[in-house]
Amino acid sequence: MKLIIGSFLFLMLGSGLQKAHAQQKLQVVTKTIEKDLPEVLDSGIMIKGRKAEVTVTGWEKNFIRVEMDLIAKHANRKVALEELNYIQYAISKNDDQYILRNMFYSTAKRSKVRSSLSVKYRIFIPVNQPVVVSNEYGVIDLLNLYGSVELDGNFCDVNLERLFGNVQAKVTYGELIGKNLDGITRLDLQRTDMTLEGFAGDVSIKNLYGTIDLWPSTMLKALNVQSKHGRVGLNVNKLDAFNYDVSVNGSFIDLPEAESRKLSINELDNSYSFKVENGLSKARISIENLLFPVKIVAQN
Amino acid sequence: MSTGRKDEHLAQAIKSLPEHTPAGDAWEGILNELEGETKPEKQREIGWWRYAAALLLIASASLVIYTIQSGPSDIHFGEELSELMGSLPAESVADEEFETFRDEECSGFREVCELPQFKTLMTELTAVEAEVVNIAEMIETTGYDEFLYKAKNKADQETIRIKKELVKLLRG
Repeated sequence: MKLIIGSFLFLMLGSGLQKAHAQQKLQVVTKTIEKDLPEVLDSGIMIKGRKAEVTVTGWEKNFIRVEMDLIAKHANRKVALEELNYIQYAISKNDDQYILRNMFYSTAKRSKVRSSLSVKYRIFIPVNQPVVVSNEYGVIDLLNLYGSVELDGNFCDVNLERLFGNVQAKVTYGELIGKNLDGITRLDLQRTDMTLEGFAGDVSIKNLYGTIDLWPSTMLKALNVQSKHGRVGLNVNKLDAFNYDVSVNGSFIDLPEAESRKLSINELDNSYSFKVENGLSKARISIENLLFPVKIVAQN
Repeated sequence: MSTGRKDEHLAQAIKSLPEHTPAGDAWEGILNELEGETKPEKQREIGWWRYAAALLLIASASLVIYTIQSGPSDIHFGEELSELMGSLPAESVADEEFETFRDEECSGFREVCELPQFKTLMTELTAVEAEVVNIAEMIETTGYDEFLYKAKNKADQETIRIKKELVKLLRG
């Protein structure tokens, strides 16, 4: 018995040591820039991030606050401090819009960068100001905004929360999580998995090669999904809360048992459809999918 | 020794002493001492300033040392643990093998290589390979970390998926 316990402890310790060995202690050098932009401009703000974590939060004040962290990480603090200078940023004004951007030095004429360099933006903006964000290899968080929002993320984790204006988002090779959206929402997703919870208003989604899970609220006005090569999951509180026009080619529709009799199957072209009218006052959910299934789940 | 000779010796010793003229304020000093305006008080006053100056000097030196050590006020230092620092993983042998296989399969006319589905996949492969090049450039410019690890992983998965589809088509 002692031998077994001893062996177990040895293995646990061994795995712990292995873990500790695999990790490296890094020195993190951060330069912080803070700036208030007192004049509110018609077109709001545009953020062009690269390898950045961008957070834009709507607030009740009538000016824009910009906070930026320029970050260099390396085992040797001296190296990190030296290479912190390779990160550049600019805050400019173009006609009626502020433009924020960050860049990294080109290494064309220099040896390879030894540190890991990145940037964090924390932007606080009046809630009704327009926001345009592009970023690659990082994070985009947009919170508490009533104005128009336009975003383009490449290899980014995108988090949208409490957005009540017009939202246009293009996300490629990313992951998107949305909560409490209510307005006109247009999402173009490529190779991006998405979970959208508690959303209302008029929502259109184009999906290519991504898995999407949708949890509409009863305040939904319309939902239109055009999907190819990606699984679509629709989760509703009550199935009769909406009207449905769902069709799938080259795959199938998975419905609650009680509704399966309403499913139309065309075996000739391997297509499924589910069309149900529950009342004119109810929002329409239209979903088209190609080669991957649609699964509808009713919570009650 | 007689008294006369002693006086003679004394007179010679006095003559051989060095001559000094007293300072002009010598009497003033003596008078001050007699009236109670003592020098020790004056010495204490000079000592206080010396101490103050010394303290100020030490404080200034400490401030300079602190400033050099801490750097500009908007730069902060910290530590963290990471598993992801390092260089970009090398291109695998499987990538080269796939390219050879594809080139061989489509070198002559093959119907499958002319299919729209095949061409679409090849276009997608070219696009994802361009992304892989972009990621590699980004790693050169900004270092390898969790963001680029994730991006590289995603691009690799996509490359594998497309290649699997292409191989499936080529093998019928």
